[in-house]
Amino acid sequence: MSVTPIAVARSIAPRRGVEPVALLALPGTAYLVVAFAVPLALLLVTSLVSDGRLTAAGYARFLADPFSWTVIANTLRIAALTTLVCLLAGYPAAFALARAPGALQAVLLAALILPLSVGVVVKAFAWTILLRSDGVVNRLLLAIGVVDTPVRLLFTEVGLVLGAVNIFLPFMVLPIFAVVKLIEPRLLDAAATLGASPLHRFVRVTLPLTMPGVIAGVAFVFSMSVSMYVIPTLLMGDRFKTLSILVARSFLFMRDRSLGSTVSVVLLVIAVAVVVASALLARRWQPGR
Amino acid sequence: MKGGAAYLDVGGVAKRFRETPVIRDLDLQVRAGEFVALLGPSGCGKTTLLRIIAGLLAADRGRVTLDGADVTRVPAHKRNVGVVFQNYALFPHLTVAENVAFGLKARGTPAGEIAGMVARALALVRLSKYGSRPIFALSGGEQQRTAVARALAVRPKLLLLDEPLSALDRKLRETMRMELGHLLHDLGITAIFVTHDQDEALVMSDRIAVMNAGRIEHFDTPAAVYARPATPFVLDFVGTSTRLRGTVAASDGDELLVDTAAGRVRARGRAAAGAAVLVAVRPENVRVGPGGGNTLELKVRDLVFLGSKLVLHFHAAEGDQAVAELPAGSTEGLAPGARVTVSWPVGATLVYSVP
Repeated sequence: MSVTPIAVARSIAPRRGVEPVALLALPGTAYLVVAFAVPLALLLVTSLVSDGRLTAAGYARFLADPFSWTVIANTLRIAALTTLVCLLAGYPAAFALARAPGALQAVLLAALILPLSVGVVVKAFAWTILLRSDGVVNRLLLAIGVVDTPVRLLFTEVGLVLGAVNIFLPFMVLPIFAVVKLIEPRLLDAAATLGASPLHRFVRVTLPLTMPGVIAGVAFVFSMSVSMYVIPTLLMGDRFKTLSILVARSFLFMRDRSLGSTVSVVLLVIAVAVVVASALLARRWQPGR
Repeated sequence: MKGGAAYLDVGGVAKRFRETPVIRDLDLQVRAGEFVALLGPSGCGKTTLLRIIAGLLAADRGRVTLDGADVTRVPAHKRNVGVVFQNYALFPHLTVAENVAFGLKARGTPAGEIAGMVARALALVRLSKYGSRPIFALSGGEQQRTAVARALAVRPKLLLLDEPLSALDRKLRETMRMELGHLLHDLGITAIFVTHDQDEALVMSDRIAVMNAGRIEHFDTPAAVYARPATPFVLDFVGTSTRLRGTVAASDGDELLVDTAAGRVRARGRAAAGAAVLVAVRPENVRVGPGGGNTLELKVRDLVFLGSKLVLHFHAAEGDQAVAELPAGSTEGLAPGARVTVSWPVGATLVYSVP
């Protein structure tokens, strides 16, 4: 009897009922419940309870304040810009990485991953030095003649996005790299012999096949940049407010646990909503379907 | 070539990878509607040649002409040459029908015509009910047929198949061999398929091009390639044979007397006395007992019973081999160690000069 690999794969595909293998997830789940779910629930309770009564007044107050909306807009704008720049820079980089020959690829991967071992505070502080008016970035711009006088970068959104992209880029490149490496190069040959131009091949074959990596990268970078605290604090200073900065100020300086919890929940909802929405959108927008 | 210009004309094509030549000054002419097998061992350059014809790889030298047009510099997506890849290269994110429709959409076929063309292509490979299935839900044979339907749907000028059956298990391979052969013959499409399996080449093709080390050593009908291999390599690669090395003892007109380790053999050919040659004969031409023009005394080494026939392997000198094929049931007096007389006609003897 002949058994094709696909028939084998199908026979070991998901079955109904609880698999013993599922028990392996138990320690991880227990940790997440204790370290994540319980504090999150407490946060939610704190934001909804005032003077021993259940009320949404905190949310109403927060959302009625125009200042809150400025903060939300700041947060979303910076996160969206950071994610977009990471995607535009990271997508082609992931391809170059995936197609690089063995030894070079190992070196490039190390170069991409090693900086992750340097703390965010250190990196953000380093950027404050690089972005100064007499910093490396400005001297470079002056030297190659892009500008005549030093441009203000520190304490600007451009500088913030520049620093954030540098810190979050690996989280965009790595998931895309992982899917690109799995794409069978013959698929593009097949598309070419079927009459597809290079652009058509990219849009109908490469892009849909790399979409899972793009979704993962966007989810990573957006959720991290929407909630970043140290980087905007160091690169933008006090005047600039994002939701995380507001959360920190509520808890640390204003001692307003109710407001802090409320803003935390708002931030969480926004982050989850954007990530889920972008994933759904990307899945619906599958070229060739 | 005789009978008008070739439909596909590959002329003087050469290709190196780094410093290694993979294709060396290769010529190949294929007539319209012909089904040609490109047969050779792995690493002989057959897949490279296929990629050059498809436009997926640029040759270093030479030209490719298809249907009267020089396509040497035409990129793959403008050549209209269909390819069935070894592992099919089906798009995993598309269904069977979407895979088949891919080429039609890429060519800007009006949307209204696509469904009908896809249905016709799927009907050709008997996959009409499979259109909405995802690729991962197909068996190996179904994937193979989807790949064929996808390549045929765009009505290519030329169809190339790279080891189209090698990923299938043996039983299915034999069925598909016939089925694919019939399908392509019925469509009258010009096709070249790459294979390392001589049975596949012999069964399916109109002509076989036997490739070795980047060159085509013999290009002829299956019967001719088998009966009169052009080179010792072709002799060795296609079928089995008795092969004996020897030196020419005497030459008389177009007949040679060759001394081998197993005895003296007569062959038709021309060579100077003292020249090193290889004489050979196909096993089905050899009979046990005297009678043919060439007679040798050989010692039986093995008897292999293959159902309908019996294959005898004889002891031979190092580097030589001697085999005979007999109808099954004629085992009398044949046991390992037995000395028997074998004979074959002089006309069936092949002779090659060796360096």
